[in-house]
Parts: sequence; C-alpha cells; structure tokens
Amino acid sequence: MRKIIYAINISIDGCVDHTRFTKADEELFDYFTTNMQDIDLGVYGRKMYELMFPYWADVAKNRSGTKWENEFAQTITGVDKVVFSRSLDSIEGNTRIVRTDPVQELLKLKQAPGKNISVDTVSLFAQIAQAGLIDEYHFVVHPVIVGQGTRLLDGSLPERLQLKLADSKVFKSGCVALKYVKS
Amino acid sequence: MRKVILAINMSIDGCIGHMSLPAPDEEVGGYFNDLMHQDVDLIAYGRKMYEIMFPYWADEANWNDELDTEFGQRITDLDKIVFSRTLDSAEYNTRIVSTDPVEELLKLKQAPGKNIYVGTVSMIPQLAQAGVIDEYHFVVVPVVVGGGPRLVEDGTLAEKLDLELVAARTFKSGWIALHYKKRA
Repeated sequence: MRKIIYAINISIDGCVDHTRFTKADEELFDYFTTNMQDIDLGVYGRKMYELMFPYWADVAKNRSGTKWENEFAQTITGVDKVVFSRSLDSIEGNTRIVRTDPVQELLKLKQAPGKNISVDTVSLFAQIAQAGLIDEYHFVVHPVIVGQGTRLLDGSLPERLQLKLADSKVFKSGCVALKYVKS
Repeated sequence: MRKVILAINMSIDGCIGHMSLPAPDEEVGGYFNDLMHQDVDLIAYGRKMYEIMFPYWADEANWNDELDTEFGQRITDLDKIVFSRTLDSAEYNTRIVSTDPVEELLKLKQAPGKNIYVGTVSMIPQLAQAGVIDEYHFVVVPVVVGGGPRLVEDGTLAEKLDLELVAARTFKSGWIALHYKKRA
C-alpha cells in the first residue's frame, strides 16, 4: 500500500513559519529532491498550494533558480497534485481540486495503486495525524528558536502521538533531518 | 569564562510539560547526569523549578535506582542559586537571589568557577535573548504533544534566536540530543 509521508520544516520550538528560517541551501534542496523520488502525488491545503505554485512552476519553466532550486522545481512541478479547497475554481496542469473530506480522500488514495504520497500542509496535520493516516514524518529542524507564528499544532491532541525514530541526518547548515515512522 | 548550560527534554513540536512526556530511560538519564558532572559547579533555578526539585531530590527515600541516586546526590551537593522574590530561606547549599536574573548570571559568569547549569523553564526566553545561555542541549522525545507548556511561549522572545548546531546524538530509544551553542 502507498505510504503517506508528512514533510515539514520546523524550528527547535515547533514553529513552522518558513519565512523565519534561514533560506534552504543546496544540501537541503538536494535532500528534498531526493526524497521526492518515491513520491508520485503531492497533497496540499489551499494556502500552502498557493505559496508553492505558480512560484515553483515558473522556476522550473524559466530555469531561474540555482542548479539545486531548478532540480527541486522541476521535480515538484512534475509530480501530480491534489489540493483541498472549497474556494478554488480551477487549476491548470497536473493538479486536481478536491472539495470533500481530506481524511476520506486520503484513505481512498492510499488504497489506489501508485508510489508514495507526500503531504506538506500544516493545517491538515492534526486531522490526518490523529486519524492515523501518516506513515512517515520527515521533520527538518532548523537551528533557530522562533517563539511566534504558526505552530505545527495549535492545541493538544486527545492523545500524544508516539513515533519511532527511523533516521537522522545532520546538514552543514546546522539543520537536522529527523525521520520518524508511526509506532 | 564560565559557560551557562541549558538542558531540557521536549517533544518534536517543542512542548516541555513533563506530564506529557514519557520518562527518560537509563541512557538518556545518563546523558543528563554526565552534563551535570562535566565541569558544572553551580545550578541556577527559577523558583518553580526549584520547588519541583527540592526537597524531593534531597530525600534519599526517592532515590529508586543507581541513576536516581547519582542524580539526587549530585544536585543536592552542588551549590545552587534560586531566583525568587518570595522565598525566605532555602536549604541544600542554596542561595536566594532576588535581583535581576540576567544581571546576576552575567556577574556569575565573570566570577571564577566551573560552568553553570540552568534549571528553569519560565526564564528561558529572557536568558536566551540576553545571550546569557552559551550551550543548549535539547533532547527531542519521539512524540508530538500539541499543548501544555512550551519551550518558548508565544510572544516571549522579542526576536528569533539563531543557534549553531554542535552535535546530534541518537539514543537507542529514539530520543535524540541536539546540542547547540550561541551564535558568535
């Protein structure tokens, strides 16, 4: 069965507003691009989708980034996408708008044939983590304490989520990639 | 100059309530004990944390195993200060300090001696922002909690604090110690 992989950049203190982090370097882009090799579907909330696109699609088209950014852009743009939204009307290219319940839709997608599914949206986290839908968690911990803005979670889960550390990797920038699996 | 060292357990999402985190195993307990033994000769507590730690850890009846005994003995013997405007007296080699924690720690850093270990949660933003803390040991517990006390509560840091990663150490339990230092 397809795995659902939740991937996010996070500060030491659990904040996820990427504008407060140091910009990703080559090593980090390479890490993200490599992780996407086993992914054939990207799942977004509306806001995250609009942060990512058309920005990365333009980079991919115009080759306007660094070598590493261009490779990342090409990979992420090429992958099929689903965006959960009640307000979006239409989207170009390989993206499908879904208006129904994210949990139900993801359960269905998991059963469908294909490679793994990546979810990179903060607003979906609590709901799908609690439903036990996430098989792997890829956190990249940036070397910064932020203390404000959006957090991974805004309130308690009914039960804490117990995970199992599967892998860790230290980058030159001081970022640490932590991979956990459902326990 | 003496260094000020902070060491704390937290969830992946930055929650630190000890009620919401599982207890550390022997290996992680040993990591904390080692930190406490390496070149530390003073612990600086906030009032709340001090009251959580003492008199509990000074009482041999609470030393349930070798790790507990080592830890309890060590922190009871060490010189301590507690920042408080309300406490009248304190036992166990503890001096009460009612002046500004930042000023006091800056002064203590200049004084001769080994490193200073800070045991406080509420003063972390204040001390971190003022550049008082030199080394940070965050031991990340493999859980996501979402609520309760956080490492840094919303709005308590005036601006974000960039740190420099020194090392990461993985434990068998899947806990991982992320060791950072203050940016030069």
